[in-house]
Amino acid sequence: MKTTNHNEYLIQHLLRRAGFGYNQMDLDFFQNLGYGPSVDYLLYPDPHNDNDLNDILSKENFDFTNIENVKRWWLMKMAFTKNPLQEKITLFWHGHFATSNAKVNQTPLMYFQNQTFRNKGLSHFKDLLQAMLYDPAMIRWLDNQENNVGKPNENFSREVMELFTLGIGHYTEEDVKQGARAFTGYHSRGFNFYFDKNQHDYGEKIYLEQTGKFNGNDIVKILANQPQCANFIAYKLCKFFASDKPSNSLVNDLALTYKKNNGNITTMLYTLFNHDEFKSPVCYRNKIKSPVEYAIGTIKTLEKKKITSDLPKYLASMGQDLFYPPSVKGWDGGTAWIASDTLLARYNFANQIIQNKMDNLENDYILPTILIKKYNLNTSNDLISYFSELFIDNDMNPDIHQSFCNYLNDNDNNNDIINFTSWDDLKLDAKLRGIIHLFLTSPMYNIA
Amino acid sequence: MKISRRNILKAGLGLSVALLDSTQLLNVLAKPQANKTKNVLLVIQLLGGNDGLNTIIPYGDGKYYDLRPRIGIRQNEVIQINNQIGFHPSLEKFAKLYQDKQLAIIQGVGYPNPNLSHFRSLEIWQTAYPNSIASTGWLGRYIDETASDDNLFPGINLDLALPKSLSANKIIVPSIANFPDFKFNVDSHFQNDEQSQIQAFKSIYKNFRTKNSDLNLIKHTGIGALESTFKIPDMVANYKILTTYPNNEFANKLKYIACLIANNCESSIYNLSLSGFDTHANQAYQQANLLKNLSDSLYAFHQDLEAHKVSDNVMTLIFSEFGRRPSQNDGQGTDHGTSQPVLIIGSKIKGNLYGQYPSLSSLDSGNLKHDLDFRSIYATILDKWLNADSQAVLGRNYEILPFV
Repeated sequence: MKTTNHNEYLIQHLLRRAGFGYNQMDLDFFQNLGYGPSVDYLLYPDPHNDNDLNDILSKENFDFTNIENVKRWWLMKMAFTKNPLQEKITLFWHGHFATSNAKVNQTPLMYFQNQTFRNKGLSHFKDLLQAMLYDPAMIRWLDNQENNVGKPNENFSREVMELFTLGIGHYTEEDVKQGARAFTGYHSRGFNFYFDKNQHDYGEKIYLEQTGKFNGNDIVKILANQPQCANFIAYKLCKFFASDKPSNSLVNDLALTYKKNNGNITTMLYTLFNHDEFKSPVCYRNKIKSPVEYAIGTIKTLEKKKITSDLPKYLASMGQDLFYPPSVKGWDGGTAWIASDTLLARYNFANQIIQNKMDNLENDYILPTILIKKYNLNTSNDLISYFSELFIDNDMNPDIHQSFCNYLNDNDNNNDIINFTSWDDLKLDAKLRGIIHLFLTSPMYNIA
Repeated sequence: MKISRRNILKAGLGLSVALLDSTQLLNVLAKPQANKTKNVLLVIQLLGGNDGLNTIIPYGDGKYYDLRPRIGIRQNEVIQINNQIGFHPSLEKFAKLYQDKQLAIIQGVGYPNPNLSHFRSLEIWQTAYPNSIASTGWLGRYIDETASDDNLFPGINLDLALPKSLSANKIIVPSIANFPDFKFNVDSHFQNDEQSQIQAFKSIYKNFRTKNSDLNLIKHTGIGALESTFKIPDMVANYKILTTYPNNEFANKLKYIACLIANNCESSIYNLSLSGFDTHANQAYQQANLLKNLSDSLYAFHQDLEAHKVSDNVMTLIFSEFGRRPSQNDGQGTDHGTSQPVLIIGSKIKGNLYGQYPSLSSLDSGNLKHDLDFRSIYATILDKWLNADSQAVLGRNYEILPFV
């Protein structure tokens, strides 16, 4: 049973999907803008918005040859950027063109690829696909370094069709072989792309029923112009931003936008976020949060100011180790996020975030006495309502409300509305942190 | 009067005893005993597509060296099985198991119209349905058929994500990739609030209702995870490892599996993967290391089980989503291929060679033809090892092989 009218929470919905959640300040800002202008604001990131963040980042002196540093750098951007969609689309492409440092083993290359996703992620798909053909991390990841005339290596050629543009069933094994020939000689040297003209196969190829002396750029154009490529990218965007099981009509509308606008990603997302279905209960609170959404969302809502160095490890145990996707297919998402140990990792991250705030009382949002005074929360009902609104758009049935009450009043049913002034500070502290932990571990909070 | 073990447990043993005559009582008491020694299957997935030709090597066939001038394993390095084939030099421990008749090599395994996508081919192996997209896995269907819904550990997956092989309709198979961290932490500053929090957590999950089956999965997985955390520490505490394992993550997880088996965990299925077999380039070094780890770790596991006198009840199945192309590429690697040898380990299996080695002279678009359908192996394991009904799980009958 849903007690929530979703129309009241569309800004929250948008910020969870197009970004990584919100705190009260974000909500005030975007609610003031209104839904449509908020979509525009998110779709056209202004670099000046992040001047303050860039100052903070530069003071951190990140070492971009160290993968743990690069992870924390990116997580800080996700948590504190004023252009959240730019980071969200970067995460999308990282999962789409899934490249793992486990094999690349060159942190700077992973960092450069990540910047490419950020800089080109909202442009035309063809440009991004071409950038991947020239991307040294990708070249090493899919062995195009070893792809030479005469004895082609099929790895990149296969995955570019199966996973990046068309999907299985829309090409033949012969296309894989012919494509591999066209990609011969696309190598890297050091941190740069290098076209080894002596290793390129200049002969004629028959590829997806077209014939010509194709090179890699020609193949990129052929692929990006396939109607199936529009469908495939539309489906992947819908699955990531809208619904774990997107409807055909939503996917078709996005595919049409792709075809009409030469694969412009910004325009596709404009169609998506303004789509009636996106704003309806079909999508609203009907998708499983990814670990990054879960963790960064929590950090934002609780107004944490720092990203601790253990966050990447928590994310890895939740099943999303950034820069180390499980395979070239990326993260499956949806129900694949849900397993006993990955859920426990979420719960234990939530517990850690509640605890370590107590050890560092400075600027502590959940310092109980401050919180209770600031929001005038005097009874258990006040407290439950406040957090229910903050964390889960009030999406909770009366029985669950009662479960929270029972926790606060230690199952004393005659005492449903506790007045906190009667509690000592220690008990108040314990129960307050406890109830936040219970909200963060609840099934409702795992829904985006 | 039909009495199931479950009803007895529900009724409470004291009450039940009073209601039963002596024969029934014997049956009831015998049941947990039978359970205790039921057979276990460990599935090892070699992810990426293991090169079968360089695992069980056809060193007696000159064509092998024509196809692989740079990455072929030299004849004097091969551990000979007969005058035609032999083990990769990294598989010394497997060769030993083979000599002891505790390792079966099933040659030329595949399926019709092979798919060369990692993901689709793995899915085909995991679901056992090559011609359609199935929502459940073969082991998931086995578990649906056999496990009771109050069993917290019908199977255990040790990979970070649940493989499709263990997707079931009725039952959720738990995943435990990290045993030391498999616990539900509450704020250490307020230990005396722990029970209230756990109780509240359960109550919230119980009261959560949704029509969306995906979101419902959160409910059931979450509550199962919490309950499991109360059991796992007891099962892994005080375990004495009676052999030396290699020092790496794969071997470390095998230790936990041995420990659970020795401590009578009710799970009959374990799943664990070893990744890195997608050797499009510079294959020799990578595959040699992977195979050595595989063979040394599983040998240690086998020794450990023997020392705990539980090895008779454990079978290990080793497969990959596909083999690799017979002809090497220019990067001293191999591209995606088709048929492969499947390996089975166990104290009580009939270690031997089964099936035909695929011909290197009669290729299909450069790839090996298969001799044996992988579902025959599954059917044999289901019928002969797990005492299940292979037809119910696989949808039809397959040839039963004599390795059990």
